[in-house]
Amino acid sequence: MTSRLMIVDDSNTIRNHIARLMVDSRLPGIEIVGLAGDGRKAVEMAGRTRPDYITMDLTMPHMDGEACIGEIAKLLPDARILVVSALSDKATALRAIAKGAHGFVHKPFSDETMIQSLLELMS
Amino acid sequence: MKSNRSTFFGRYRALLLAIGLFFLVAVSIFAFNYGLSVQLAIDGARVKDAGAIRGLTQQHAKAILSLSHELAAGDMIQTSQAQLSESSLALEEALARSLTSAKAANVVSELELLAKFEKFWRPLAEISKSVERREHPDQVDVQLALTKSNANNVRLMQLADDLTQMIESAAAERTRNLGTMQAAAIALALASFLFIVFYTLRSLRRSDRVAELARAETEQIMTTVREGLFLIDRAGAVGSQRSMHLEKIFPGSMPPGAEFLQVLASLVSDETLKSAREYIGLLFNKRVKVALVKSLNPLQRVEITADEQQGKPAVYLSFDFHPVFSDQQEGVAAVLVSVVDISQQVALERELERAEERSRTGMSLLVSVLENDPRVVGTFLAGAEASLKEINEELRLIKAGPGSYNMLINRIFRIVHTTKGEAAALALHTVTRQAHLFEETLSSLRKRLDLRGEDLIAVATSTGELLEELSKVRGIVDHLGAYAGGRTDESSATGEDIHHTMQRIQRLTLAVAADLGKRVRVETSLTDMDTLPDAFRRLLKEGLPQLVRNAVAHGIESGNERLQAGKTAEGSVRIEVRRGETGVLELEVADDGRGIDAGELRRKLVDSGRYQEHEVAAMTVREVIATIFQPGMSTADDVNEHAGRGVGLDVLYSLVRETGARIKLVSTPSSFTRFILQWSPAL
Repeated sequence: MTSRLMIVDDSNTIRNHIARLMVDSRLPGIEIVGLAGDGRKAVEMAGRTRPDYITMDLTMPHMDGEACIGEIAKLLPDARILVVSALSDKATALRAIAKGAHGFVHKPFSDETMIQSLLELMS
Repeated sequence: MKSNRSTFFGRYRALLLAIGLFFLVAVSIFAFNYGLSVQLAIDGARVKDAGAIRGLTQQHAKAILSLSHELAAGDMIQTSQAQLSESSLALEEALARSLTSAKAANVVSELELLAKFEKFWRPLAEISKSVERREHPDQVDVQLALTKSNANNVRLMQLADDLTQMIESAAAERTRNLGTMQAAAIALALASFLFIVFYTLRSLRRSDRVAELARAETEQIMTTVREGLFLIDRAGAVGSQRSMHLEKIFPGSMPPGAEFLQVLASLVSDETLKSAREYIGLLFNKRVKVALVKSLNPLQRVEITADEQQGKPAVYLSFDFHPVFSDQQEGVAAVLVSVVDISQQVALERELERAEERSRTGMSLLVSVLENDPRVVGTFLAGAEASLKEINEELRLIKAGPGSYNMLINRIFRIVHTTKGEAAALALHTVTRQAHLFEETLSSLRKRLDLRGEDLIAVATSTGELLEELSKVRGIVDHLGAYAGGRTDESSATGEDIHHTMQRIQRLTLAVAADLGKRVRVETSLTDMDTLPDAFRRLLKEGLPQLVRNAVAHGIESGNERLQAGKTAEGSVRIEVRRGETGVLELEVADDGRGIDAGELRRKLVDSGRYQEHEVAAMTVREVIATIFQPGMSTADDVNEHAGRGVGLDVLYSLVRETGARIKLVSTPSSFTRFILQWSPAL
């Protein structure tokens, strides 16, 4: 059974970094089903690709992560969402998790932290 | 649930068996009693029948005797006949009942006895029947019956007695046996009851002991553990079990049942409290992965402000939260909170940071001094210290009055600005920073026209602080001097190599550009530099830093601005020292930046309030441009370490005048600016 992963971040570098990390780490059965650069696109893509797991930035154009998490949680109640954001604003992160996310990883993150967190998310 | 049930039966099997046995025995006793009472009734009836047989035998004999007497006397015989008939019938009935019951009980001896009775009774019964029914019985028959009755009566009585006795003793025997059995059953019931009581008490005592041991262990843990430990439930209420250490480290009181966040409310900021409420809420949410939100814990390191602790050092606590799951409840039942006092750790970290900062500053100072020729640094220090001491002296001796105060402040400003420029050129950043702070103090004073004596106190303090920074550099130079065998001889410091100066200036240019986030390429061109007069050397040493700072801060645009203007992102600053044909020495600093826009300058002159609009309108371009050399005039929009005070070119202008040089300025807006300082012995 494959785990479908979607990566949402307005930074192209971060998106590609997480995607590359998933390929390089050879975690079994992870399929990257989408990369989205803003909240609106993320909601649209989530509806289309129905991911099981999502990494989610908070500050993004068009629709911020908090609103995006709310939308996706309604759309895909079983999807697990990992917030990936700078730690400077804990309050926003807490609100985002209350909206329907499952965990939090702060930027900048080490490769190991990201892999461990995704494994924890999938457990 | 299934396993729970099986362990329940396993643990209490003996008790359940004892209770079962007790019930069985109790029911048996009741059944026994019932059987016994039925048997007693039967035995009673049989004894009664046997007794009746005896009595009726006697009654029968008496009736025959009466009949015989009445017949002989010629009296009425009906009564006796009736009595005879009655007793005979009753006896038959009693006999039949006894027989039935004896057969039912299958008592052989009794049956034999009854058979014997029957044998003696039957002939008598036959005769009496013939007598009792006739209206006038035959005298002979009556006599025969009497004779028979007399003959059999004693025997019948005897047999009836024996029967009675036999039944009675059998009944007594049975009653005794039943009593023994009953006593045994009661004893058994009592035994099982006692077992139940004993077992229950023993179980209770054992579980009490286990509970007591567990309680004692918990208490040992709670009194020994070096953490504040307690539970909070879903409603946020604090549990009854708290570790003793909690009282030591937690400044407020946290009684059982109190609401944790309410207790916390008076000790932390509202924002932290709000975040803590949200965070604890998340921990009770089954969806959230606790390991993945640990970094969001707002109480991981929190400064506790307790009113009664004013004056004491700040207390830092670290709260950690672990969800507690329970069998009885779905999801998270409670959250275990562990609190640790990290004040010492925080203090240590701060101290380390300070030490690192000190060593960084010390190291950077050391590196700066090492990068420069110690003699040059020595010269700089001597000059700056002399100037600052002069300031102190003048502050002490100044005559009261706003005019003289303002003049002094302006003079001090120029000295401090020169010191800052030289320090920056030597990469002595700590001095540069301190001089910059001094400038800030001075520029706020410069704007005022109502200066008073006490305003100068701040100037004296800042002078002291700048001297302090200089003395730190002096300390390092002296140390190095000691190692180098006194190389920091001041008298030889004037002979700094021109190439060394240029390297320094190049470094300064790049450092200023990096500070302002600009990209700059520096080119230098030096020709025929063997013999330079002191005046020109001074222009290089004091004027050049101002010129390059000016070029980078004001001339060169930001990378974006340059790209938009169609230039390369990297700006260019060219420094040239050349000797003209007529022996004129020239220092040129050229940048390919935004140039000087006369129109813009006119607007600034009006905005700054220095000139009226009509005055500016009447000025020629040349006159407008010349204003940039006036004190306090700057084209920069905001103030930083490198620009905005309007001092640099003012200082340059004074220097040019003092050395007898000439200044030339060529600029095209959006294209370039060139400053040329010319000096010749003839001038």
